Amino acid sequence: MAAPATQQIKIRCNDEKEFTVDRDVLERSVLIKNMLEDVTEQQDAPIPLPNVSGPVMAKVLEYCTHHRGEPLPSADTEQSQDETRKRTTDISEWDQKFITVDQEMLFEIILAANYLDIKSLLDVGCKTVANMIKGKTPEEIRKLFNIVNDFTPEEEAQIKKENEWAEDR
Amino acid sequence: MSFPNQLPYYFVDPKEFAEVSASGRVVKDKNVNGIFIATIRELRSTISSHGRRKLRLLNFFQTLPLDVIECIFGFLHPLDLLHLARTTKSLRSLLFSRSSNSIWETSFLNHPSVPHYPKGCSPPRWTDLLYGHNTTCSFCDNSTSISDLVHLHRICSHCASDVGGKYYMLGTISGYRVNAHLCTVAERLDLKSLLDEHPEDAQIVPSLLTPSFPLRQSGKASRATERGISWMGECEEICSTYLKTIERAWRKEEGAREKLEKYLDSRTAVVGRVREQIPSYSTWARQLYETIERQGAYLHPESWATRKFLALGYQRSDLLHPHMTAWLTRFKLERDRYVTRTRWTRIYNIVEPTLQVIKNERLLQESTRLYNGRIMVITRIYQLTYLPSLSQAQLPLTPMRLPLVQSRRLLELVFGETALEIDKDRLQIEFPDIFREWQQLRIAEVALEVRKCYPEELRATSGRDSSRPPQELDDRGVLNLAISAFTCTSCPSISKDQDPLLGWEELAYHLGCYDLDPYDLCPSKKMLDEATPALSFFKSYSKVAYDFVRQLGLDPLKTTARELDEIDARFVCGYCPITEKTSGRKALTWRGCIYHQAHETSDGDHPPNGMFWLQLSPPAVAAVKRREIPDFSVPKWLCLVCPGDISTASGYEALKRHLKSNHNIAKPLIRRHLLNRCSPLRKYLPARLYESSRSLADCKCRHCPLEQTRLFRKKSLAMHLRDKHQLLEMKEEDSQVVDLFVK
Repeated sequence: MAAPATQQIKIRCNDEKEFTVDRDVLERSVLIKNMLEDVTEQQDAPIPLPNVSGPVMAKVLEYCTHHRGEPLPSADTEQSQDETRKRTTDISEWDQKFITVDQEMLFEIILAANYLDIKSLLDVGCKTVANMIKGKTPEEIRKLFNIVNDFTPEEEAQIKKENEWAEDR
Repeated sequence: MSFPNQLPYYFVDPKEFAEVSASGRVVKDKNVNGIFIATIRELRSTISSHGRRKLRLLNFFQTLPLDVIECIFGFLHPLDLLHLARTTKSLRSLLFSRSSNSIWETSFLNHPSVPHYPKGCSPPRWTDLLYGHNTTCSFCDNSTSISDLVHLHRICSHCASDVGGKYYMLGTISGYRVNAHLCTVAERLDLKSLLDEHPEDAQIVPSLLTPSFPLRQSGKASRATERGISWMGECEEICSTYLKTIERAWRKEEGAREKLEKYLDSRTAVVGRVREQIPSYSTWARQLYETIERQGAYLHPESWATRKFLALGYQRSDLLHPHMTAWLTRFKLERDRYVTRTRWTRIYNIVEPTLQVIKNERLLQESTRLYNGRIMVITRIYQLTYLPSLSQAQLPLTPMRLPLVQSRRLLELVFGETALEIDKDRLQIEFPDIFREWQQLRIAEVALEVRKCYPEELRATSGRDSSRPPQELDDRGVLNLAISAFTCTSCPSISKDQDPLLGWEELAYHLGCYDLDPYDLCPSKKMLDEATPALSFFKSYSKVAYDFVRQLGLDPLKTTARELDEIDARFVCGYCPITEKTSGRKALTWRGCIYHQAHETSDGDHPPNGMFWLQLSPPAVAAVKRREIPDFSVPKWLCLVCPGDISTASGYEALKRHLKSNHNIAKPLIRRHLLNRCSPLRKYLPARLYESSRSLADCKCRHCPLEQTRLFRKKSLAMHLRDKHQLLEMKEEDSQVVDLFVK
């Protein structure tokens, strides 16, 4: 009898690239886990993932493989985390190395993690973006993300003085 | 070529893609069903083919779900959020919207070292006050201001010292009290000469960095390492100890007063030692500022390093502090080219701990200086200018006894000739604590004066009872008795009717203890020392009251007016004639009984020896109370419909007109639309009780519930019993004859 851990699942990305992965690796994604639970019969057809591209999926699978076997955050722990809501931006060494990618890939990973519902990966992505923004002046943030400044100099001087809610102004 | 029905990024504005084409090469838009659009994938391939071109962050913020954005922003420091909000309009509108409060909240929770924003202050504003480096004063355009974290604005030294700044002064009212013993203690510590001769030295604040100052030797453990003295803070601390000691003395604790004296001596010694150090402090401070001026050049205001430090929440003065000079000159921060990214990390790690200390020190000094400034203004006015010109009677109007805002004369002094108009009604509602305190002070003072009029023999025998709570044992104790009857000979309204003022509260109300104006309710006398001689103890009324209280079965020498008010019974005079033409007999309160008895006995209508009073049963009292009409002749009515603002109309008729014209309420209800709030003793015109006679219905149905009391004649009762209760024959027990009833 084949153990469920060794069951191989096929997935197909939006660029038609296919991956065959162990079920327990894929089950890091709550989305896929729920899909697999819903499908009772074993099917050979690959699971379509229209919102994830092949290179990004490869990165996501790399993360899932490394963290396979780790306990998934249950509803209780999630709730307690939400209650305290105290979180640091510390990232483990492996995760830090893993997430050292270009900005485009980083945002793709965040989008994919959000779509596939992989909470830990999403957290790593968000922390990385937050760390990029931290301690930077508005000008540096604009430069970092290539944002065009749409404030006139007068407006810029004015907004420094106005710090109330928009609704109160 | 075929396209899917719905493109993956169909919701993105095509114009944005055209904008993003940046980097010199134009992205070729595709015409799909008349819409120019490029798929993000093609755009991405264009960008990646150009190496390190970056996508605009905003595209992603628009693409990312809100919870992911919240997740990213939640990890950021509040200052980073502020910086982020200053990058583009769209991010500003996102972060400065009330709906983003959760983002700020998470950010503050994730950074426990940042003090949480106070109630009534938006998180962005609080962050700006804490870390922002915009230093423009909130009241003028002065660019060298400091953050006032208490009153939540930025203020320059000029505005802070200018007590004429109305906003500043009024902003301090709500949480502000002048300690009653502040001046005494300041005198003991000899601060008056300090204020006179060296006002700038009086601004000394505790500082870890101030050299050669003696450490504080006592006080809280957390302050054990503080150097220097906050003069006024010292006074406040001693005052609070002083108040505690008085409490202990009241509880008859042994040695409490000696302990205070000892404490005062020790503090005086510390203050003395600090004052010896003042010249050396002044030299040190002068040198410090000279150094800052001289060294200012090493840190160019526009340099990258400076901007980096400012972005991290420090101010330029922190960086120019002599303790930092040694570090920063070494790093040559005036030249950008010396500061690379790697080098910056190293520099920051080295200087950060010292910078943090300097920043905390600055925040502490700023708040202390503001506190000192506020207290000092009041102390100076009180000690040096105001007090000598006052008479004893005006003392309650000084800040020593009263918060600043209530003192009209002081306001004139502070705000110049055009005195600030204070809305008393508003004050009473917005600052109920202040108002209550004011009343207590008034009452205490007036009671002391009035007690002199009280007969010695009564004082000796009454009011002192160990079983009563302490407030009954004070000077007001004897005045609280129900038999305390006073008359004000100078007031026409009182002498005309010869109605005395019974009990303390009525008297206090008459003398204006419940009003903010200085004793102006006693019309002919404006000051207490003028009003008290007009007061006299009313012996005849006191005797009547004595008899009445005894008839109730209570001890006249112990029963207070408040107790009788709380019983709130109603009485009917047994001697009043009953004829068919009379308009009924009045159901009187205990006060009314005393007035009635005194009037009728003196006129000879009732027998002089003893009275015959009927006390109404509780249901009858309830019925009477429902029919009592408030005495509309008493002025000062309050509109309850006006939100926060009080209408100027004070008479009942005027207020009725106000309600009709302003709120379209034609038939106002008492306690719902208007309230008579002036006197603590609500005055009512008594309801009248009628004697049953043949012409009137006098029977009550016993089968009807009590609350539906209706009176019938015999005939109609029989009909009622038949119709309502299906009783064909009326028996004796079905009806109840009512002797007295309220109409």
